[in-house]
Amino acid sequence: MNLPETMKTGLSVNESLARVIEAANRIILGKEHVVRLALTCLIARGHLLIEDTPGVGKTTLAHVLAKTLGLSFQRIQFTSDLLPADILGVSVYDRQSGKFEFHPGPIFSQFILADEVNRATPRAQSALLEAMEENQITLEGATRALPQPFFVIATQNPSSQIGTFPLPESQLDRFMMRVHLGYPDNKAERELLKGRDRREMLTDLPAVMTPERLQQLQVLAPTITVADALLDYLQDLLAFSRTASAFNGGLSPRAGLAVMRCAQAWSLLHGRNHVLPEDIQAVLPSVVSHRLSLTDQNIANNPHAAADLLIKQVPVP
Amino acid sequence: MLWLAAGVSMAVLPHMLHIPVWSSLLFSMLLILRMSLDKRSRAVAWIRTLPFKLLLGGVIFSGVFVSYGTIVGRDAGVVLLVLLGGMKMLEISSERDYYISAYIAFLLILTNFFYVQTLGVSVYLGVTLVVLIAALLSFNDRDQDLQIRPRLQSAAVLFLNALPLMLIMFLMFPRFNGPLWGLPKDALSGLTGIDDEMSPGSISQLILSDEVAFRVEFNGPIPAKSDLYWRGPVLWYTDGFKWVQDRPRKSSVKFIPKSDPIRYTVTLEPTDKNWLFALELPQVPTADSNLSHDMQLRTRRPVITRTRYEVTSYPDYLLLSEDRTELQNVLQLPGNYHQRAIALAKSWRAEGLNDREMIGRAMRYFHDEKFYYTLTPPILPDDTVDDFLFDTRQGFCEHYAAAFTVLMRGAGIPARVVTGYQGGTVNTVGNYLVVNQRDAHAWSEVWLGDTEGWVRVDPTSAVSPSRVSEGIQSAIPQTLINVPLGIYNNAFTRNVWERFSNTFDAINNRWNQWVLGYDRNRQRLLLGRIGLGELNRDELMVGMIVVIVLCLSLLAYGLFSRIHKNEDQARYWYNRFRKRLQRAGIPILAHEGPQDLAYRACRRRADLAEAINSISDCYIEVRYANQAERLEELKTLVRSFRPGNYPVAIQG
Repeated sequence: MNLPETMKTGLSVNESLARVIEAANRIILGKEHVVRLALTCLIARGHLLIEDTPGVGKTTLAHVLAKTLGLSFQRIQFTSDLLPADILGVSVYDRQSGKFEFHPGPIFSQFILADEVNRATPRAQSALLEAMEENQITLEGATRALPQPFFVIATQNPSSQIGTFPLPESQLDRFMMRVHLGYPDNKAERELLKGRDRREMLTDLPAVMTPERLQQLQVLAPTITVADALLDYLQDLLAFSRTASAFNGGLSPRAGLAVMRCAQAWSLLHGRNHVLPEDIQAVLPSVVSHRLSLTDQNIANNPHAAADLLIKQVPVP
Repeated sequence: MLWLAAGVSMAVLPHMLHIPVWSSLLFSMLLILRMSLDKRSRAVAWIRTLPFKLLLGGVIFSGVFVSYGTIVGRDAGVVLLVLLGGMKMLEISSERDYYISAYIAFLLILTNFFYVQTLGVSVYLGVTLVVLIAALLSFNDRDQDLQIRPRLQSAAVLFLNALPLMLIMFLMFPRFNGPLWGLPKDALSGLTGIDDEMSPGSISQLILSDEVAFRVEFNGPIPAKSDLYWRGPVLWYTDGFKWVQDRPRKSSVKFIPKSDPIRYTVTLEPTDKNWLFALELPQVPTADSNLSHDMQLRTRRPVITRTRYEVTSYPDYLLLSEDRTELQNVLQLPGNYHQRAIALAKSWRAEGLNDREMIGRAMRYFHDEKFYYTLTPPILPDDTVDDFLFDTRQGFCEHYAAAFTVLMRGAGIPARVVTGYQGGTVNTVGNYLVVNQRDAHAWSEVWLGDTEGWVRVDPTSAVSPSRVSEGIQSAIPQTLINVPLGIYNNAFTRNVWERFSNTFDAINNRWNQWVLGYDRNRQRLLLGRIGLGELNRDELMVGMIVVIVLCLSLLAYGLFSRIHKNEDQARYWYNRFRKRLQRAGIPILAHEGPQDLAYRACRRRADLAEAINSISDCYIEVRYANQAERLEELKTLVRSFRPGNYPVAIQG
């Protein structure tokens, strides 16, 4: 493992990432894969959408990540009467100085948890999504940069539940990944039931990484080697998604780029300096499943069916 | 289907010029029927029944038999091929039929060369070939998503790919003296040219043909037109109507050159005759010919292919007949003919003229009396010489030559008729001389004793001097020459026309010389330059095959060299590894990455884990981490990976 020697800040890349994962695993039991995916998304400078039924630990996951990474954390609970100003902030007239003073909203944090994002109106959703896309907000003619690193985890209840404004496909595309937590397995659930209160554990959780360290990783990830052979594979995948009749529409170039960035981050996370087909296969379900829709309605409900189809049908060149 | 029909039609089109009209019509009908009928219609089903096919086949065979009296041979065979090809088109229903039809069309292209081998036709057939290849392409293009242009383009590329191979076969295929296969006798029918006998009208007929008789490349400058007498058959005897040759004999003449030699190379079109043409008078016979006793270049076998030969001639010479009986023979006159002419000659002799003065007297007679030089002389029913000399006085060179010779013999002067060509057209583009059939000519040769020997006398020059000095075009009406009307009226169009026809002939000449005239000698010469001159036929054949195989291997190497790039070579070796794993009972999944495969394989075959992991790691390094330098290591690892065969997959 020959990572560049840019990271002489004590712990090696492997070690610091391993400690984050280990810390998260202690609180969110049996969900190591999802934790790794979330971290991948973070390193790849993407935003994460977690879709699942309430109570499986979406919020806890966000808390754990923010805490272990030492990021400033804000939670925005989306409701149907949430306004853009509640997210972005407002200017208030200050009598003493005789000027309008900007009171930044909760968006001005490094780590945002947008809880139940599909409960708010499209207007409020747009305010968040635009900030995610631009990494800055423009309010009353002034452009304000958001703190870096900037990471949004949005949680979403399945659209089958009542009282939701589902995100349109174009806005789903703003999220680099969509993951599902799912129910814990038998053993993990047992441990959960027997163990300490998770909230309590959260408060005790030490930060194992600095935001600066995270930013270094974000810079490092795109330098991970992607060989031509791997690009061939990626392009085969994209081409297949565009031509196969199983899909309603193919993957966009942005989706392709997202797959590559995530694969790079994934291999960094696994201590490699080059991307393998397995890396692509590992991140593919989370990156593409919210961007691809299947023509066959029988399997369309399975969130990973599209990605599985892609992986199974396209040979590794 | 349309493509194939187009290709077949194009291949048959040139044949339509010579096959019987009924067969052209039948072929067109079959093709139109094919194209217009719906595939699933009942008519098609009916056509495909055996009785109909038998009936149609019977019609075709009997038609050919009626037309040619045979069903074998070149002409009948070609017609059969054309019509049966048309029938095959009609019955196409499967892939196999389609291919058979296409290959029949390829064969039809070939058969065109039995008839014509000119450059134009060759180019046309090349285009036909491309169309046929495109037809095969379109048949294999199941989705029909190729446009016309790319389709033709890829066909042309395939065609061009085959050219080097064609060139090798052309250059190296053993050549035979004479045609490769025995052409049937009818192949050379209809050749025009100087005959071995002469009668009134036999040469003026040739004037109407603008076919090329031969082409000449001079080593030095081209001599003046009036000196260009191309000697052909020498005619000794007459029966009052036609003139014939002497029996070929060993030369009994003495030939003394008196001027510098002229060296030149003649490319003679096939004549099916036993002689060659040469400037008066040739000296050294070439390899395949000899000089007869009347200075004709004669060949052992008829000239049935285009022939190239080198000759040296001396325009000034002394030719002496040693054999006195020969001189008696050339005084021969037919019994009851030409009495008035003989009387005229005797009356001149009575004036006390010597031999040389007799010639001048006869020439003056042609010049002073109202003689005309014409291509369309009146018919001479009774006495070809007397009627011409005293009544009609209109004639062509053969009339003048014959009459002059008779006059000389009447006066007791040995004389004979020489036929051949006079003049020629200089092709300024290729700087060579073209002698056409219309340059055919006849003149006389007179014996003037041992001091002067045989002297050429051209009586035509007394009547129409420009025929000799300017060439045939100046002496006969232009409408008889085959050029577009009116072109000679305008200096510019004439220039353009001449330039055009000269260029065309020059290209044709090159084609003849280098493609059609590529015979055993040329092959030996060419291969000699690369040190392969002394190969016999079998060695040539083997050599050709070797070169072709070499070429194909180069091509194959070119195609496969893509996998010789490092990265893809890694893939190649990794695939070998995967095949061996598969034989060892580990199924291979196409979508599985190397790491996953290694993990799975190790679980199944823990005994091989070390080897599997090291190969996988090495492959990953080479292929995905750009560590090309570990390729050799990968090769070695894969080569030594011998897991053995497990016919039944082991349950993991």
